[in-house]
Amino acid sequence: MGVPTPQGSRTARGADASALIGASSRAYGWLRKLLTFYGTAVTVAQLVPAVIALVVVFVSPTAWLSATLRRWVALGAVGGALIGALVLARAAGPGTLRGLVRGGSARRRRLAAVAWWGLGTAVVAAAAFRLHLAVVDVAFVRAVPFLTPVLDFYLGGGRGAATLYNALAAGLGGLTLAGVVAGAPAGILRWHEMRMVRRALLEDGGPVAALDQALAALEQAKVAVERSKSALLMTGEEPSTSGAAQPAHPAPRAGGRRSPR
Amino acid sequence: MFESLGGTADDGRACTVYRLRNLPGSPPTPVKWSAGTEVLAEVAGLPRCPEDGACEWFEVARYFDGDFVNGDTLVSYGLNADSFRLESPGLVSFASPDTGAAAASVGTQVVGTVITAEGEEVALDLIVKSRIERGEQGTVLVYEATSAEDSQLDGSRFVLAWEAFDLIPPGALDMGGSAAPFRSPTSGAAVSTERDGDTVSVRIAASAVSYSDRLSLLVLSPDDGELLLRVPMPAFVPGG
Repeated sequence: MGVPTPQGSRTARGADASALIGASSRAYGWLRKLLTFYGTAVTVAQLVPAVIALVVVFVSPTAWLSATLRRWVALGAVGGALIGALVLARAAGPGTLRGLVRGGSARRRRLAAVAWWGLGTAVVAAAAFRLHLAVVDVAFVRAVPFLTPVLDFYLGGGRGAATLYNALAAGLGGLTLAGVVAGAPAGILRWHEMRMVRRALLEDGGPVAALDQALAALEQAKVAVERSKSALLMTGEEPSTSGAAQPAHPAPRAGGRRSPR
Repeated sequence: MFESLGGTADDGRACTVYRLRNLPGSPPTPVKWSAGTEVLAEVAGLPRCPEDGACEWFEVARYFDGDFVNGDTLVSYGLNADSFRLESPGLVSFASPDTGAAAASVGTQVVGTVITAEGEEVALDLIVKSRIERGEQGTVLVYEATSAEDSQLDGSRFVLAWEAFDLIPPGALDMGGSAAPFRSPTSGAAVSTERDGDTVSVRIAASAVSYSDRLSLLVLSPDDGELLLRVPMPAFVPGG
């Protein structure tokens, strides 16, 4: 009985072959995924120089060559960062911590509002800032001739016009930074808090876990009730054969009553 | 485009000329040309030069007793007059007038066109001088501007704020007369002038005279006081 039959040997070899085919299939799938990833990576790598060039062009307009403008923008950036930090502190500070104690929805709402408004303002201000830097770029204005009077005003308007240009650049730069400084951390804070809340809901002893336990208990109770019902029905069908089944009835009932707890 | 020239004027004094010009197709361009801390010429805006037109020179000539040497200069231009910087050798003057002589003079001549904030072109063509006259009435300091055009001297198109007027003791100058071109840089008040032909002048009696080399002449817009041009304009001033 202990000697393997030829039939059994063939089955084992068949299982090995299936495993081998499965492994080969999986390896082929991985290879395909790898090749797809490689192809995508090569395409992206080819685009990198162009993207870098665009970024360089974007962040280094000729206006940056002016040391005076850089000083103004630096000043605006510092001011904007401070304002952004104040806005963030107000949204996430002790005042709203009281809201967190009460349930946190007010704080999260405020953080969400600051994140959206901050980042939205930053995007709009950054675009306006870039356009502002471009209007004194001769090559850009040649391509967009209707901006020529603006270029002429800023370059030929003397100190007043230059100061106005610098002040606008500082304001837009500051607004961009204020939006980023207030919006980005507010968004991260909100995301982090949402994650913490989800985790707290799901962890042992948390509300969701308690609900799961309650559902499981309910399921058990249901099963117990079903059993009691079956037992009762069986008792009703054979009333004269035995009365010994009667004492068993209270147990499922008791279980049925207990299970919701 | 820029160049500095040096030579000797008709009257034997030394002369330096600083010339600036926009390139064809270039936008209005603020320019500052300096040698160390001394501003040789600061133009709020050279006018836009058409692509196919001739670009005129803006010229600042200085006449003085003394000499000039080849020194290091810096031309900066573009936005805020500091977007582009070119270090270049240039002629730097060293004036050494004799304040004890019977007559002495330093002068700056400006010829060219600048633009205002409104884009209006203002043509400048005048000579500004500081002179000493010694005669029977004693020493007289003369501050004068000369031009063939009346509009250059009546303060209607531009005014001349000369830092020399801030070094003159209060009361020595007769303030007033809005038709005069001269202004005090600090107060902005007009300085009364006398007119003689194509020259307007301010005359002050002085017991002692000194020469102040690091003074500037500011050409300002008459409406809002906007700076159009700054050039060196040394002067003889009262004092030992």
